[in-house]
Amino acid sequence: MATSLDVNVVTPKGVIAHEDSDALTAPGEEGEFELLPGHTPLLAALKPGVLTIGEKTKARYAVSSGYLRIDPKGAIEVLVEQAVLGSDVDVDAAKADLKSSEAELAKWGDKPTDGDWKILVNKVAWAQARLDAATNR
Amino acid sequence: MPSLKAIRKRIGSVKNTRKITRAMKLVAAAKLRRAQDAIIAARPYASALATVVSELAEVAGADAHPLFEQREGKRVTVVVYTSDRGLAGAFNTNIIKRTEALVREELVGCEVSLRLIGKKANQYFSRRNYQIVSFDGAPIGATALQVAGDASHRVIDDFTSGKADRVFVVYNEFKSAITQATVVKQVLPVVPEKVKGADKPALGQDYDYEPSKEELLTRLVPLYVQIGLYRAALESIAGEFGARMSAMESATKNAGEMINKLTLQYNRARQAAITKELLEIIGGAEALKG
Repeated sequence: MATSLDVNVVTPKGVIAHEDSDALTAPGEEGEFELLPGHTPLLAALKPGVLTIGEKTKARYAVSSGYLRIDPKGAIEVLVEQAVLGSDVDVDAAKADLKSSEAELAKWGDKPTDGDWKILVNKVAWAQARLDAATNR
Repeated sequence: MPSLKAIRKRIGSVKNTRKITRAMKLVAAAKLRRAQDAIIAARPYASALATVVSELAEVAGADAHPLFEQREGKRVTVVVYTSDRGLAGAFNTNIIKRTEALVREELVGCEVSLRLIGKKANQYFSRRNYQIVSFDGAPIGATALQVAGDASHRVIDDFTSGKADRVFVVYNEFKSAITQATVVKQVLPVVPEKVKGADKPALGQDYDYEPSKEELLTRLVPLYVQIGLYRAALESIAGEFGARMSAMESATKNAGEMINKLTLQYNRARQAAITKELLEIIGGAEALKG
């Protein structure tokens, strides 16, 4: 049985984190979950939120939507559109993003929810995820 | 024959042009390196996503997702990647020609709407009889993901709402610093790649899915579409710098040749003027003697 988790956080901009760890908490689509070594193989969708790697030494990452896959050997592949370490988050920019995208979303009203609307919803969630990763320690 | 002064002026201006083209070449070369790095950085993500999508498609069935659906319809959306700026050789011309050929020869009888990315495409197509649904500025390294993300949300929406039955993307693929290939790729419907090597996909029975396989596909297929468009954006960026680099390289070379030619002409003219003056002096002296 695997005794550790080999975590890989991959985004289109490159591999953000690659480390051996003892635990991982991820923002699953159906609720936050924690993975420990020896977990059964799983493929889970992620929503924008905070990904925490490690039990004692915690590294918090803001991640946008994507998926997580753990294979029988304990290798974890976290594939997300965007990921940033909590301490690297530009809080002011994230706040500004949240404000402007929420305002735009509020203006949407009764218009049909097409592709542009989805873009906005994603923007709000991603800005919120960044703020969460940077603050609630 | 132009006067000495005119030639001198001409040499000066060609030299200035050469300075500019040389600087542009160096800038393009530096940016090209960064663009190539971005392509390499995107590879692990793209390949992991392609693997998961094709494995999931295998276990869930090829018709498990609406974006896999092959339709007979005649409505087509074409996403066209060009650059905002010129001075990049045939970079944009090739794309425009390829798009026109696609529309005229391969999509005969189809109702084509264009989603343009890059000012050059807009300049060309907006003056002609094409239906343009959206136009965005050309991506740069930092905005490529955003541009591709927006474009993918829009084309997915076109497809699912029935405004388009097929979606293509036209872009320059970066082969090397001197060659780009114009590529036409089908974005939608998605055709999952065949799982390589193994007869059974790694995502077998022993995997837990959260939520269901079908739901997961719903999440991942749009990402797959997006990464395809992102790759196209990165290739286009790198291709643009490559094209500009080689265009500026040959412009610099041509300017050098022109300077050589003009210098020769200048020296000839100068010598001719001296000879003429000498002859006049000698002639004058001879006349005085007589």
